[in-house]
Amino acid sequence: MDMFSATDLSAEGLEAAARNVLAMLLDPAADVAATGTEEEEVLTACISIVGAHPSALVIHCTVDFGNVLAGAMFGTSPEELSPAEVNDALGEFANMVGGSVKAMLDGSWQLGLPMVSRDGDGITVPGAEPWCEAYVDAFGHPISLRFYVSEASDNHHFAGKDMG
Amino acid sequence: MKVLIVDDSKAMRMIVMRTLRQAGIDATTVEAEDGQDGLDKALAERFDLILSDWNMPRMLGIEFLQALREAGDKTKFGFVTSESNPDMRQLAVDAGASFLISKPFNAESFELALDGRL
Repeated sequence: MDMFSATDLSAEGLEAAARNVLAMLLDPAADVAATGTEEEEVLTACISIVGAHPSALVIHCTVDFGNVLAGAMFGTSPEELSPAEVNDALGEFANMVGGSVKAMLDGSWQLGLPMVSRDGDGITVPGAEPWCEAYVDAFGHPISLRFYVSEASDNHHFAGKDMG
Repeated sequence: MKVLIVDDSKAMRMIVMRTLRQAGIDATTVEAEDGQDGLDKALAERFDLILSDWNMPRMLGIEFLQALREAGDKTKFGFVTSESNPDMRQLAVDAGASFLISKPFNAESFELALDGRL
């Protein structure tokens, strides 16, 4: 698959995009220690980026990181946040990283609206393969980012909830 | 100053409000959660500035701006968005936007965008 060979998109670029957004959202001086949730439950955020080929950015993180991120964005204690607010915050994180990724792609591309799932595997990118991936540690919270691309040429937002 | 902040993400609306304060802008803010909600509020009361996201459900930010101008409203309008390629910047300017702030942003982004425009 060589459709992106002329672009600057790489694992390093993906990581830099995530770090840049995190630098805006998380105050380095803030208390971003783990919130103490026991579970290893994973949050998944996905945003489609369509242009010459359907593609999508998929982000996995722990609920713990979602709580920290939302707490920073809402300016409140993570314990006071609802799951919807945590999903909102992670979706906006995906939107901003997606915008940075889009800027690295050649040609005309368009962002979709972000989706967030709490079940970890509820979001699919059918027919797509990972193009590059990166891992970021945000104050001890692991985040994985994968950029998927499909060889299909149909230009639609193809990432979605797996209803099956 | 009265500012209408239009974004489908409540978290982002909070960040925009906080960043306005950090930029030294003393603003009373009203929130709207998509373009249609923004249009309804913008036409119902007067604002000094509208800050809008681009990608939103129900009505895109650019459609909101176009509808606002078609209604004869000339309120100062800026996009705060992850969409920032040259084509979209031109589309925004052509529709009547004064500036486009790219996400991620900081207080300086707002200071530079708003300098001399208010």
